[in-house]
Amino acid sequence: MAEKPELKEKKTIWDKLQDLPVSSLFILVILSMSIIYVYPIGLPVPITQMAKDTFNALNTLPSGSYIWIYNAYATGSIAVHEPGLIAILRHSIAKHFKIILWSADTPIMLFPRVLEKIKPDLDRANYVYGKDWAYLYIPGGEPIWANILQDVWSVVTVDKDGKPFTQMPLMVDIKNRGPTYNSVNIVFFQTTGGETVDGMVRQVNVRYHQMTGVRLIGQILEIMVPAARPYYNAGNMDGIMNGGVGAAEYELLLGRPGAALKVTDMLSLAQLIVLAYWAVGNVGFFMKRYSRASVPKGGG
Amino acid sequence: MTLLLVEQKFATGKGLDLIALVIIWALVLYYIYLKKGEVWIRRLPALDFIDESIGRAAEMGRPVIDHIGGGSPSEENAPATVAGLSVLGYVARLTARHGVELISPMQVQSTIPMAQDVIRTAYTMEGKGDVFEANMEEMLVWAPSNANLVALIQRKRPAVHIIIGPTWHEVMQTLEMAGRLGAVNIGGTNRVIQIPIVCAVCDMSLIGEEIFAVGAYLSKTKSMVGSLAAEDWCKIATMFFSILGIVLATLGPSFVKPLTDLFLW
Amino acid sequence: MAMRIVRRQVPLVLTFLTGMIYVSEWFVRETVLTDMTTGIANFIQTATVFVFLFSTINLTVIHVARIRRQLRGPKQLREIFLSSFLLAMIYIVGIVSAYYTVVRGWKLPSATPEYMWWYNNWYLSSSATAYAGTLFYIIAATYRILRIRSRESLVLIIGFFIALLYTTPVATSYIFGLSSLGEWLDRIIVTAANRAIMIGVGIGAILMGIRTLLAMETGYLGAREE
Repeated sequence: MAEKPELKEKKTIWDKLQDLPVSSLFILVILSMSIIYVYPIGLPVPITQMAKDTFNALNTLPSGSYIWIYNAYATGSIAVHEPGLIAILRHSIAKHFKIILWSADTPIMLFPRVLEKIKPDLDRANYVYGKDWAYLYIPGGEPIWANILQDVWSVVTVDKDGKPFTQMPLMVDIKNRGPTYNSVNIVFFQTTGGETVDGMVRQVNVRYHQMTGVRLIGQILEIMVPAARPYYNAGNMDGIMNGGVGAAEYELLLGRPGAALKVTDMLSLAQLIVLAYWAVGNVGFFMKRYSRASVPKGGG
Repeated sequence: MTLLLVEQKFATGKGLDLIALVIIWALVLYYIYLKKGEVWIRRLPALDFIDESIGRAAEMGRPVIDHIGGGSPSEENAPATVAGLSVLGYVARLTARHGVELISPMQVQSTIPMAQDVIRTAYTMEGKGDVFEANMEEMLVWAPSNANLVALIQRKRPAVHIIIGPTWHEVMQTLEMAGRLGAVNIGGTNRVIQIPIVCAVCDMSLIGEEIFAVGAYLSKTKSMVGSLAAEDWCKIATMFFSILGIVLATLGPSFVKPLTDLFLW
Repeated sequence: MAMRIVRRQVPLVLTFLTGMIYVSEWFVRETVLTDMTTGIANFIQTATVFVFLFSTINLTVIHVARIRRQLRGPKQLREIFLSSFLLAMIYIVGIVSAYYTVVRGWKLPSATPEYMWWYNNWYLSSSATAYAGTLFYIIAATYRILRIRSRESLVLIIGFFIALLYTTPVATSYIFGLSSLGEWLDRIIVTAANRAIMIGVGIGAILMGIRTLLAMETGYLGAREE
């Protein structure tokens, strides 16, 4: 007896478009990023209003202002945050600010890499450690930030290498000026965690902005910008450096192109590839819905 | 004289904060002690989905993986961590009841003792304390990195993957891997940045403060339900002030000034 | 009975008192309160170190028990090598190198060349690589999951498309109007939605805090036996 013919759905071009091997996408992205890393194209980077506001928050401060930098980035975001930190430090040195950095363990381990790149700027501006800039090791979250800005001497009395504050003219000067918030003109933070943004707004802007006019800017990952935007729109933050792209914009505004611009090239190309694959997948999905491809095999 | 002393001691710009806090406390106490928690709360579909999914896991004979993300009880995400532990306790009771294997990977060391306690108590309440003691090392796994979590999911091939708590970027990787292996994904986070990812990839999700409401929904005790009602009234008040502010701001700066002055009192 | 009071009641009382001190410090300008909150913050820092130590010991106990239970031969050794055994080895190396830096004079590990070599060449590269792995999951999910299956998903996809193009610098440079559209979307729609979620989360956190202060939320102490 002849078997009933099986209704087998023929795999059409639309099915194949929907089901492209994901490994091909990975390979394309890796290849494009690797090539760009070695041979940067120099794709254009438009400057946004947010980047201009971030730049101006620093630029409009007078020479001798105090900038406090809190870095809380991890090894995973080094490609994005390190250029941002270098750009801010270069700008601060150019404006002859007093620079106080503070962080917990990981950024301190990563700081020698940054120091290597900004050393020529420090030497050119005759910056002396302990007199013009300092790096403090202060682990802890929001409760500690509140106390740092109130009185940093009550939180720590040595820097990250164990050097007492009494041997650092910068910290002695801060103590002599009264509560620490009198020596804070702008706070710049870097983070990969959303809570830092909320905490910084609470402890810096809400507490001290009305009293001392302290400014607050931060570099956060692109994915976090929508969540931080309400603070920027409301004026709680004076600027946001939008991840790697924001760092690239800052470098352009500063006139010192660096690693962030290379990262932006890689980002542009990778995103376009992902978008192309997504579009192809959806075209396949749509066309499959509106076409028929069931072909019976065998005869009656 | 006393009034002057009080004025000097009271921080400026926080008058409305104090009034709001007192009203919230009063509301919470009202709903708990006067209304005795008799408030209707809508069903949270995600939690009912958990019941069905664990039943599905029992039928399939595959484990349930439940983790609470990367928060710890000693920092800002402590409330969400506690909410995640509440769900873990509930899931542990269900898995003990149905005889399903539960695997709870913890990313932060400091949550391990708490999770141990929660799961042990849940299993003991179901009369399966010895099961927990015998399988503790398999049940409670330290997986600090995302690679660990993904490898665990690949190895165990769970039927249900639950991630409720303060989540970071591990949520994308674990949900994607679990989804690819055919597991049911149930997620919830308070972290605004991760909410879109959770909603896009999960089969059922809890958004924002719903994870805090979870504790109330699961326990159904009058104290928890009462505070949930107070929370909803707070949201209504926030909406009222927002609309009032929009209307006054549209009318002009002189109309909105009394409202802004109120917030600076 | 006494143990029950110590385990259940004392933490609840401590939680309430600490919470009230912090709340009072926010509203009242009194040096005593500020000093108390500073003291509590310092105590939290110290306690966190002990929590870390306790959880390290706890973890070591769990893994040593697992190794002892499962290590019956070479086959089992292979199975648990990459998890428990290697973890224990890395722990010991880390503790020994940390002890070495302490003996060197209480400096932070960054001052020790040996530790920095280990950190830069092992931890930094593997950590960054593991984090970079997220990229592949995201792009795989973008391709597989984001399909226009319904009207709701169409709205989601349109937003996704504009957001992705807007965050691509080369696209914003060449596509006319994209920058303004993306900026508008960000400033109005996204901000409004995020504000609403943030308000909800904030209110939820306040109520959670009140529940914790009033000893209604005791999840952190383990389940209650009513």
